[in-house]
Amino acid sequence: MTGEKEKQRRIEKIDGRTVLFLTVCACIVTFLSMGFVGHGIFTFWIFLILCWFGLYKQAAGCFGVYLLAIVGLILETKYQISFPSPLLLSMVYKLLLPAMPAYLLAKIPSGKLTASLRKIPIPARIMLVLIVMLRFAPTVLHEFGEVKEAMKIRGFLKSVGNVLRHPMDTMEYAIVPMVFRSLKIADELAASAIVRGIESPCKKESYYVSRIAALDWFLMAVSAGAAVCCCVL
Amino acid sequence: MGKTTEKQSFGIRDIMTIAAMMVICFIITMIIGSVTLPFPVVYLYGSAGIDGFIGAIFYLVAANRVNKHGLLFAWAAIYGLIQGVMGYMFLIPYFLVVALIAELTMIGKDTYRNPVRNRIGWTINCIGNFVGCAVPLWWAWDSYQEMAVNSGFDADTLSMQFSMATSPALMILGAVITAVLAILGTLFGQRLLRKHFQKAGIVG
Repeated sequence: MTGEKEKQRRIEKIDGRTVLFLTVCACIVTFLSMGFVGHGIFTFWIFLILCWFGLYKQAAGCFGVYLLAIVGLILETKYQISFPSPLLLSMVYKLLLPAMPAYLLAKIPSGKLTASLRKIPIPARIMLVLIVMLRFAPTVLHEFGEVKEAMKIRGFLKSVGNVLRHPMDTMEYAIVPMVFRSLKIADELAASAIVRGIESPCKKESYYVSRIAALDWFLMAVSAGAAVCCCVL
Repeated sequence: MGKTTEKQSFGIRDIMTIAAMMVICFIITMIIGSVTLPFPVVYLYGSAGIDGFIGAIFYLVAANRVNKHGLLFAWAAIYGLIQGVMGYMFLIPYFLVVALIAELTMIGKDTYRNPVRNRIGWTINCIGNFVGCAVPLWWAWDSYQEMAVNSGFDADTLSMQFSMATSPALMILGAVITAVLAILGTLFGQRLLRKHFQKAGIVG
């Protein structure tokens, strides 16, 4: 319980812009670094950051899959194995690096994230869509599970053959309730946001303090330096 | 009286609707991407079309509900931004251009509730996504090829895969496949709109 509180406290201390900067650095490294060493070092740095924020399981999971993908890729190319596709493994290890700081971004409370991102020159509406999407993704996944359960109970998913014989019907049975439920949640979220004054034209203040502190400067400076070094390696 | 396509900016309800539909669409895109990625031919030529087929339903729900200009631009631009955050920053300007072209096809009154105009706009957006999907493959190809050649990977297999990823004729074939699937998707989506969503009164 104390660990959870400490984790939340640390996550709340970091500014959204810093995590966005980390994500951009990860993108640059994944795009520009040609070797495994530089890429691996930067991934390890992000792994350490996630661990510092208490996201041990997620960090270990991502880093484990990353190592597996790299080892798999090396073995496949060495012994000319083509399944699973080396291209798939190549994409997995390249995409995992930006996905790790993006996960940290998703863990920042939406109020704090909104307050931080308001200071970046992105159109407010686009920023709002991005933030809502970030928050909405777990809800949608949960709703998918609920719809799947309901379909199982009603016998729509009783066999693979049944699904393959009627793919359009199966899709319709899955998508229609999904859309209805999502629109209902979207309407509730909209009502809640309007009640809290999101459409008010005046300058918004936040419950969260949004400023770049010493920790943010440290993370940004080290990440920028590490990104440059890892691209050169 | 049915509302016409309005010039005013998006309200919060519109933003929430777009975000909700985009999230579902994006999750489906990710699932399709990871399922088709082990099969480069399907991934390159089919994934954008399959995304377009399924995503059309969500796009049509958003379009008919919001019915405001800028929706398709926002849809494609946000897709590009997400691709950028996921590591393909060079795709952001590309997707902004795709978004602009797709939005230009929607000029006019009440176009977001017009099935034909939605079909055209959505198909252009999907073709843009198809070409956009090929770019990262070319990018990942270089590092893969370099390592494969150094490790003595079969040269014939490599050249076959390379021609597949670079042939203009095959790219056109892929664009045609994508367009057909996107059009079929909008037809299916329109049917679902009439059958369920318009009856329930949640879209116009």
